[in-house]
Amino acid sequence: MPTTKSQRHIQGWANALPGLLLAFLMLILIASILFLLANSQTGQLQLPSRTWQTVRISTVQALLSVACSLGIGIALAWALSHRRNFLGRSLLLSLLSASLVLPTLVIVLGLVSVFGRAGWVSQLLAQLGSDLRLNIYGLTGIVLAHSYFNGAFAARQLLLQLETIPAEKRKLAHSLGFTAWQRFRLLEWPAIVHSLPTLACTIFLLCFTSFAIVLVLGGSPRYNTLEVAIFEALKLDFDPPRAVALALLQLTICAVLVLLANLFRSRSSAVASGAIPSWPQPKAQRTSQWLVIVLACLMLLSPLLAIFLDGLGADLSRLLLDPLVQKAIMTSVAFASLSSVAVVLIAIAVVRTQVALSSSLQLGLKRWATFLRASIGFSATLYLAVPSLVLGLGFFMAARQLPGKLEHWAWIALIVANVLMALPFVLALLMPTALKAATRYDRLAYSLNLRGWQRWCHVEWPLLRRSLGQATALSFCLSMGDLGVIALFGNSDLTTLPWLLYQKIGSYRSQDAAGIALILLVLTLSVFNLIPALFNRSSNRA
Amino acid sequence: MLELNQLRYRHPKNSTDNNEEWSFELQALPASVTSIVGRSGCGKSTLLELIAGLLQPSSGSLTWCGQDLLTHAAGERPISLLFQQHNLFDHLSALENVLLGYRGKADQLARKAARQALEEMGLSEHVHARAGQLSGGQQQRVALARTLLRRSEIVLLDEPFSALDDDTRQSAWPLVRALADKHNCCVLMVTHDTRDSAAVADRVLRIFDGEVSALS
Repeated sequence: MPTTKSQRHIQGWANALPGLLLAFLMLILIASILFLLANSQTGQLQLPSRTWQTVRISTVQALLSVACSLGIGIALAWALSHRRNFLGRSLLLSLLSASLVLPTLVIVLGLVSVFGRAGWVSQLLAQLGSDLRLNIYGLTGIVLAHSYFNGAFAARQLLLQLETIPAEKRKLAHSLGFTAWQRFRLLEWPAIVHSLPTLACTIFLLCFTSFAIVLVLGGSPRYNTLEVAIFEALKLDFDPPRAVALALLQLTICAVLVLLANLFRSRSSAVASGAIPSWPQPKAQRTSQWLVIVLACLMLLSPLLAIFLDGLGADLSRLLLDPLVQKAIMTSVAFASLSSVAVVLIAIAVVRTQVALSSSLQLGLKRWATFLRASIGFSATLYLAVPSLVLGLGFFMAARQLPGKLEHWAWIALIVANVLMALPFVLALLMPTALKAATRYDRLAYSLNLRGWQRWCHVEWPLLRRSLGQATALSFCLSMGDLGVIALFGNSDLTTLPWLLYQKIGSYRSQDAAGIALILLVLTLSVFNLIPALFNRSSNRA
Repeated sequence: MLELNQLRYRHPKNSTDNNEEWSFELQALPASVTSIVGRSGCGKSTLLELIAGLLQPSSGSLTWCGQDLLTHAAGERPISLLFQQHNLFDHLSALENVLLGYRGKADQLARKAARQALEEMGLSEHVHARAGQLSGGQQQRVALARTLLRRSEIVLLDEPFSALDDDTRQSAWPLVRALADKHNCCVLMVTHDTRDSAAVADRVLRIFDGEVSALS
């Protein structure tokens, strides 16, 4: 047992060291890439004339997407917090949780099948005698697709906040005879309002740097985001100076946005209040809640159903025997496996460091601990400031200037990009549980002299196991469906499922695209459910 | 008089008291404080929530001065309910919290009445303070002021002093007593501390698995 102050200091820093080293390695890696980007061209970096139009449209679509997503999120969270018992509620909640990891391109394909010119809604309108034909390409489609993903994400987050309202306050509101509006204004709105700025900033960043959705649904260069403009500059026009200039501009804007987002960051930690009481409500209120839930189910399920139906119409056996598809599946699984293992290992190191530094604060190591915790936190949210396509471009430039095959650089770029993409989400899953465990068991562990591997086995692993299962599944699925860096490096030798799907869409091979989309969706949903179940199974055995 | 005649409550099947049925029998007079004691999980809070209308009884009757309360929704009963904590909305001021108890439009008259209620509770200097910034004892006083403004004839207190320190607890006793003596309220107070009962209550009842019996 570490008895003296200096012994405690040494132990604290020993626990913190691996995560600190990793965090600073990440910072150095990103800095090197950015340095390489900035110095990669001997000529003058010049922004194209359409740049400000691109920035403007990126901002407009992101703002509209934030408004729609938060609107959907608030309405759905409100309805679900009141309707707590109905068949399929847990399935709907699982879908909301899975929305973040559903492959973007697959959902886009599903949305086209439902809302496209020849989609289900247009056909229904035609059946009803209407001449109106929907056009999903352009701003409407982009906002619709962004709202699909982020509306579900917002609903899940806000529902968690609504569940933190103490049961006493709900009882008080009922005994005071609050109307639905009074209850929302005085009870529910205060519970969610603090998390809205952070949520809005996160959704804005995700939409501002959106790539796959804008690439497919943009329809014309008019709706390009900076991310798509970088891709087109490099892949279509092969104009690296323009790509680098755009990448640096995007980087600057995103860095400012991340800093702003950090200013708004909510410090409340959502803890569910336990059993939530409920009472009979007026019919109009019940009807509006059901309406919101039914509409949300239609919105969430219809694209998935369309993918299943379209996919089943494809020649799946031929596709599964196609060597190119087999290679794409193998490559995707390999990338996702390597990335998820790397993410989880890095996340564990970072979490242990943060916990050690928190304990160090309690133990009196105040001088550097706060600064280091903030630095590690920043390095973990780097992805939001350095979009994967910018990172990919850095590696692409490195591949041109440094020795080594392009394919090798592609593997490194893909894994690094996927790690950085998944890290903020994985840390958000692991950190609250780890900090809670540390607060509760730190002194007990010290008093029992539980250290290192022993402490991990007896304290951290049993408490973190469930979250680790979810984190592994999340990072695997995010990597599996990503069409960021692969869009720069993808070729006939290096093909992932999303890249193959994009190629099929681009060459108008709709049947094959539907089949590949179904394969990708089934793989993603299976893994997303299977991995946490495996971790839970081992938890039950223990 | 508040009367509970074989007021039965059946617990939900998935609860810890799996589908067990409790039957309450109780009478309490206006202008009196009745203290209810008993071990954890014996039904003290369930009794208060049944009276307040937060739980639905399976059978029996609940009347106040001959008037059937079971036909009224929770918000329409002449009842105020106070918990150990979370009685206020932290983002509202003390005055706004008290005004929530006013039945009708919160006009100038209501605001004046709310201020008076706060003054009576010794909070005239904290009228505009946010509830979240007040101490535990001050928060309970604001909740009691709301009870006064609501003109509730029945006041249900669920462990009202548990979160307070000894000094604050003792200073709150006369306020509860005043609800009965000055405002003629019928006060039912659930507590696990015999000092509260001794200081405030006219009589003490004991609950054991839903069975109410007199202690004093």
